Amino acid sequence: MLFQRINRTDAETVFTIVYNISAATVTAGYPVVWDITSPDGVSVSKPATATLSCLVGIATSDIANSAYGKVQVYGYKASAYVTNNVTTAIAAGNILIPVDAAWTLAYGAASDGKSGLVYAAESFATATTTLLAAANKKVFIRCL
Amino acid sequence: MLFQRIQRSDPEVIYQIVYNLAASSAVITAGYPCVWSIASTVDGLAVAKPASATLSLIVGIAVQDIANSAYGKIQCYGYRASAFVTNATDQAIAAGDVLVPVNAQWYMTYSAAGDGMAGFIMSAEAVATDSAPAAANHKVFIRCL
Repeated sequence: MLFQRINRTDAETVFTIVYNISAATVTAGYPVVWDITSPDGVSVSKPATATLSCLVGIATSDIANSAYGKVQVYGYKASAYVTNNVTTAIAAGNILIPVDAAWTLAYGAASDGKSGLVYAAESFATATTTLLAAANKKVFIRCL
Repeated sequence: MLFQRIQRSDPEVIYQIVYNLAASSAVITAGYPCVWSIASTVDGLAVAKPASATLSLIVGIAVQDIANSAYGKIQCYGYRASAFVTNATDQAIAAGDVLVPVNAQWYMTYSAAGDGMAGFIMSAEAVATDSAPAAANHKVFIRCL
């Protein structure tokens, strides 16, 4: 695990090393989850319905399939893939959750002071088409 | 707190040292979940058996037997191959489900399907129902920091 050395002007961040077995490249900004087909705590894959709470963090660099790479598990991140929808705008502070079979985060709930693994750090307006397009947005990560 | 040095082929894990203050001179066996003590000693070091009031104070899973009134190591982050989980007669556990401690017990049980925004312990394997439920060691993911 990688902990940034103390530097008061920078955000505190924590990273972990994972192994991509998703059969696809994990692009920087994508959320990844622990693999449950052959769990070992290293292998990660694309979010699925069963693994939404197994969120590990947000990739900080592209990770080729069957390769190791770095994932941010704590702290502020300026670019994580988030999608909007047609009914609910995302406000800064809202809880974001992974999406089944997608490499994006989406609105989960308003902040409640007791839950959440990833939070929006900026607003994201509604779109006219469902799952219009994911875009990199600012988030706070608390996946440790 | 103990952080594993980087070795990319091993799972990242984090440990911490706690003090066993469980009642009745109980030993905390490896695989047991434990919670912060809120009894006479509240110091962020003392841990005890889960109770209704302390379910959210889960610290992690013991990685070794910890004698009563002794210090020992707890895993508070990462994959663990053996944590005490009980099954039930009517609710199977699927990999990815959220597990919770149980009042007055040294094991965890099914709480809910994963929703992407909650859960300190997630099951890493399926556990079938049983007409005579019993706790046993199962694979889990821990996120208790």
